[in-house]
Amino acid sequence: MMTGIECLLLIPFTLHYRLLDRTEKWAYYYLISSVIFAVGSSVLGIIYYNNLWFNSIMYLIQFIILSVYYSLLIKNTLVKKAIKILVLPAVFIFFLDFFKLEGMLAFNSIFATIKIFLVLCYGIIFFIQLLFDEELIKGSIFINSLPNFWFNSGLFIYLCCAFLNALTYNFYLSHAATKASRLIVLSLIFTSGIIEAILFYIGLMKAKKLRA
Amino acid sequence: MNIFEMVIIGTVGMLMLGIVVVILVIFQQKQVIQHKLALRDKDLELQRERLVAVLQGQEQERKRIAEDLHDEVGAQLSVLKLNLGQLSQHLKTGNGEAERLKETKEFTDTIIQHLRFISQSLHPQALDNLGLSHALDSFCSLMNKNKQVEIAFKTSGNGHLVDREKALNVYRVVQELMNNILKHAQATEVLITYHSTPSLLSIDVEDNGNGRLLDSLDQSRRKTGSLGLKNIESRLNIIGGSINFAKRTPTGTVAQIRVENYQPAIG
Repeated sequence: MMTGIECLLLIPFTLHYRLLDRTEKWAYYYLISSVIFAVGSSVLGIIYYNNLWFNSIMYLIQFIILSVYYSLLIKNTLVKKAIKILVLPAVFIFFLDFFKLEGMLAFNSIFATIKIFLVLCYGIIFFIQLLFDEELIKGSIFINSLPNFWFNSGLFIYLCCAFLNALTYNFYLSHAATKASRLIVLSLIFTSGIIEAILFYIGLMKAKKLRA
Repeated sequence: MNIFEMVIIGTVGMLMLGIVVVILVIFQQKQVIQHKLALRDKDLELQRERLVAVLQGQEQERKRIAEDLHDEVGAQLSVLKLNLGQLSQHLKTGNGEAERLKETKEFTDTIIQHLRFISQSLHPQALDNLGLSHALDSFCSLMNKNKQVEIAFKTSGNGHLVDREKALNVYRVVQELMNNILKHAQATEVLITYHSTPSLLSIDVEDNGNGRLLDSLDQSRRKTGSLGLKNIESRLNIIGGSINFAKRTPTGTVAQIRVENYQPAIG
C-alpha cells in the first residue's frame, strides 16, 4: 500500500518538477529513491527472500540525498560544513556495518540508526532556523507557506517513528516476536509514512502556490 | 512489560512527539510573527500620532502668522493707504508728486492683495467659516487672480458637512497639487470637481498639461528631497483617504482624491 502511495505521489511531483527550486528538487530525488527502495525491496524479497543488503544500500543513498538536501537548506555555514563532513564517517560506518559488523545479509541496524539520528538532528536544526529566521519574521512569512517546511515535517515525523524500529529490527528478527507486535510496529511506520506522503503533497501544493 | 511492548509504546511516543514538534513549531513561529506585527502596528500608530502632532503644530503656526499678517500688517497697510489718499487731497503742487503718490497708492494696493493671498494660503479663513467646498472655490478665485492658469471649480452633491481636520488636510492636498501643476505640468486649464455623498467625498483635480504631474512629484522628491507627494500621502493617510493619478484624454493628468466617512462625528 505504501509503495502505491509513493508512486502516486511521484506523479504530481514529476508533473510540477519545474516549479521546484534547487533545494526542493532534492526532496523530489528522495521521493524517487523511496519508490525505488519500496519497489526494489518488494521484488528482491519475492525473488531472493532476502532484500536486506538492498535496504542497506538504499539507506546509504537516501542518507547522501538527504545530506545534500539539508546542506542546501540550512543557512549556518558551520552546520553546512558539518553535514558535508559527516557523510564521510557515515559512509565508513556503512561499509564497516555492511561488510564486517552485521553483514550484508542482515539488517544494518547500526548504520540505519545513525542515519536516522543524524537526519533527525538536521531536521531539528532546520526547525530552529525557521523559528529564528529574521527574514521570515520581517516579511511576516508564516512557515506553513514554505514547501521545505512541509517536506522537513514529513521526513521528521516518519523518521521519528522509524528510529526505534531501526534500532530494534535485528532484535525482532533474532527473537521470535509475536506477529501482532510486529504488525503494530509496521502499521505505525506505515501510518507515519502516509503522514509523510500527505505532508510532501502539501509542500508541493505550497510550491505551486508560490511560483504558479 | 516485555521488550516488544516497550518498542511499540516507544514508537507511538516518537510518532506523537514528531507530530507535536511540527505543530509547536508552526504555532511558535506564528506567535513570534504576530507579536512582531503587533509591535510594528504600535510603532506605526506612534509615528502617525507624531505626524499628526507635527502637522497640527504646523497648522497652528500658519494660522498665527496668517492672523498676524492679516490683523497687524494688513491693518497697518490699510492705514497707510488711507493716509496716502488723504495726502493726495492736500497735495497742490503739480511737479509730478501727485502721480508718484498715485503710483505709491497702487503699489500699496498690490502689497495688500499679495498679503491677502499669502494670508489666505497660510490659513484659509473660509474653511473655518464656510466649509471645504467654499474654501476651495475661494482658493480657485484667489489663484485665478495671481496666475496665468485658468482654474475652474465645479461642485455637486448637497453640501454635506466635512470634519474640520479632514477638510483642512484635503484643502492642503489640493493646494499641494495645484502648486505642482503650476510648477511642472505646463497646464493652461485646471478643473477642480467637488462631489460628496453621505459616505464618500470625491475631489478630482484635472489639468490639461503634459501629463507628467505624478512623474514630476516623484522626481522632485528624488532630486531635491521635496516632500510634495509624501506630504499628500501622509495627509491622506491620516484622514483615511486615498489618491489616484490617471492619464487624462487627450492630455494631462487627473488626480482623484477620495475620503470615506468624512463627516464630523456626532456627539
